[in-house]
Amino acid sequence: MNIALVFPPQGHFTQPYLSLPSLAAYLRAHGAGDVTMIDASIEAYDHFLSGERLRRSLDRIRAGEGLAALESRDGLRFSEMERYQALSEIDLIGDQVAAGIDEAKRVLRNRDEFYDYERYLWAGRTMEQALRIFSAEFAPSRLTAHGFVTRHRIERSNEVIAAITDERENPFLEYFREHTLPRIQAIDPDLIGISLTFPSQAIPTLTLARLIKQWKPEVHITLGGGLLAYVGEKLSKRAEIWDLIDSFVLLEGEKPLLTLCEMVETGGDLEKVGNLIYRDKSGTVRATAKQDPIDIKTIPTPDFDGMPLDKYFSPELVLPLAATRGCYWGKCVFCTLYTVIGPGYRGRTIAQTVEDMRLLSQKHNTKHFYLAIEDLPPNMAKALPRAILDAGLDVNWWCDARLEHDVFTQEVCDDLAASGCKRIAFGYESASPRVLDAMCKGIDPDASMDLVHRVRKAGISVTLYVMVGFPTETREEARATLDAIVANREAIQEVSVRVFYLDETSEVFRRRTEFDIVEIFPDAEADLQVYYDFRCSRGMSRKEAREAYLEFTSALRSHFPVFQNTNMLYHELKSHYFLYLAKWGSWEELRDEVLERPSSNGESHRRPLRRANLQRRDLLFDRGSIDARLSSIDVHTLRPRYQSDLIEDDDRERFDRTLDPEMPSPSAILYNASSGEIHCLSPAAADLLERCDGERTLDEVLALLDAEIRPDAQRCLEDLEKAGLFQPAAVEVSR
Amino acid sequence: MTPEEKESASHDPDSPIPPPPGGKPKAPAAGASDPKGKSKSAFRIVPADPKNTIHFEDAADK
Repeated sequence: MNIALVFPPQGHFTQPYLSLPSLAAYLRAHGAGDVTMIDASIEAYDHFLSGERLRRSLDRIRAGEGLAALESRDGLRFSEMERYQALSEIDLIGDQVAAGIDEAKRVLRNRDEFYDYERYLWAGRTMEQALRIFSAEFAPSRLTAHGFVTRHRIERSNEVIAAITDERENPFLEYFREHTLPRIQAIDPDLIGISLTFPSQAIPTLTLARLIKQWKPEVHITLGGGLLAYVGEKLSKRAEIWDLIDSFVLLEGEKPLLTLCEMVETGGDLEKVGNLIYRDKSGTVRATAKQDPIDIKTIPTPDFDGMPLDKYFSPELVLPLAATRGCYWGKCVFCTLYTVIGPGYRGRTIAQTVEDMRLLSQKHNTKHFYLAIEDLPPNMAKALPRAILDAGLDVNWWCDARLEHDVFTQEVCDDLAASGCKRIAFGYESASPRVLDAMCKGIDPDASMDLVHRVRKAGISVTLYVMVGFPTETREEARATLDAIVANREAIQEVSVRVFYLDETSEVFRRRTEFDIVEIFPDAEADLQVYYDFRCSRGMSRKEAREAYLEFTSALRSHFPVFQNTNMLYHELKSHYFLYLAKWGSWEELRDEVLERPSSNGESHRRPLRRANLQRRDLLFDRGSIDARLSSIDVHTLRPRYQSDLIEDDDRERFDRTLDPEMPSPSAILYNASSGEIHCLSPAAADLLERCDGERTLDEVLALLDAEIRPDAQRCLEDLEKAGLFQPAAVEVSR
Repeated sequence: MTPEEKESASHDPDSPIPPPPGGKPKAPAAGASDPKGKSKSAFRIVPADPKNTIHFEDAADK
């Protein structure tokens, strides 16, 4: 039989995901049929981020209300400011980005150019700008490197169903019709498995399923993947879903999918498939018996054959590999993963893991691995490095781990580094022993920080996961966490901070009164709701937690090189930062040679100034002010979908009514074509820059101005230079 | 669920966090023209800040 496995948009574009190769390996090993893997996510990105497609976006955007219409207004309301921001950028850089996007992709895929940091930054910025242009065609929907959101909330099945036929705002309708559906038609599968892992994939998944069913109603479409552990049962209660989908596989997919293939091929009874939800011939929705978690020592090495490995936006493959499934600790009350992965903790042997690395390394000519595991178990932390070295493997790898201070001795840390471990991400969460105890983290914050220093001393990059707003946590406790991180910043490279969410499948939700949660706020229309807003009788309110989060992000930007400026290594975190670490060998080298390399020599007084390769667009409204006002909405608004960074329609209407309009005030925006950066300037600053013509020195430029404004102008020139908008000329001009 | 899929759940996207009860979002300051809090100089330069610069959480998500 023909089987198609599809990874739908949107997942990150820097490396392949593991779900399809794991399932394909298992099905192929059991002779289930011809298995074709389609990573529709990377294929969609590759298409959207192309010159041809972006020019189509520009044509469509320019056919609508343009910047000139907005500039003719007496003032801009909130929603007009949003459009002004987008259209002014498109006006300035649209054609240039469309002309450069194919080169940007080539830079990210090319080993030499990718590691040229200036080229990398240009390429990364161009990708982000291109995604903004593409998204503007479907506004307010937004596709970024890290997500896909529309105005339709995925917590509400009504809105999800509305989204899948929304030609105006769902970019995947047209894309699937033109590209993915023809590919599937060519395979003519008997069964299609779609991996629904991230919420960002929900709408694209059902959009694709509908198109497939319109083409071939009899094909069996099954959904599997992580998201279904949370919303699968709820989704199955929605009758319309059964016009699109034939079954849902809950939890681990290998065994149920294999049995499902057999049943579909033979016309057998779906009741024999474990962990399945399906609708029987009478129209009754049924859930089959629970399937025992698989022994992962019995499964084959993931099979990436047939994945579009040359399409990912990285110069070298970073392959995911699961040495374990589930969490060996399994006690943290906020976490639900150990209840849905498998469930239960299982591991492959050390020898199997090393052999998996060797096989994949040889087959795909890569030495980079991401161990896609919950946490590195103690036995593996101690024994895997030696096994890698004994096998003579030259690999680089990274993973998550628990802060086990007894396990990560200096000797173990040194061994990990010697075996190619470049980065470990630890769940630190809080510096408060009280909060950690309440979470059942089982770690001591002081001992944890000692461990972090040992890992760092070994040369491994340290990432800490941190959480603010755990029930009863006080503002002082959150600040103490931030203080501890900043105080130890020499040993910490990255911090991933998030606000605590109340997940209905978590222990803290089930025992919420023990955590002083006195009220939860369900959304009556959100039949797919998993997370709840709540109120505690003590500790920070949700608003205060959000403010603490913003305080964290602001401080991290100040203190951590990886987060400073517009550091693209951070933006494309999934594997680019790791690849840079592997390339430079250690964090210190990377920091000193790349991230903090001194820029210009500060000899502007003596040398003439010249402008970079700049494009300028004068505007009737102040873009800097508009940017500030729009971003202050972020700061002051706790939106229902704040993490999606999308403003709700009713909020937008309220802001349109209640906020003062932005009044005309001239400004200029400048695009630096060599760096890809855009800056907003006041007219005075833009004129000052015009005078930096490569002939005049800084003193000569200042001499053109009235004496009283020279100090301001000098500061501005320093800012312009820091922004890379002019450089001192290479050759000193004789005076 | 395969292990790499943890990322979908552990740092969960699209979490619904409604405004706190009774709390009304504060209006952004009108006419703020000096977002970096510098002087009232006529000479101003700021990086363009399109709103979809990603959040810290987003990067960790996937």
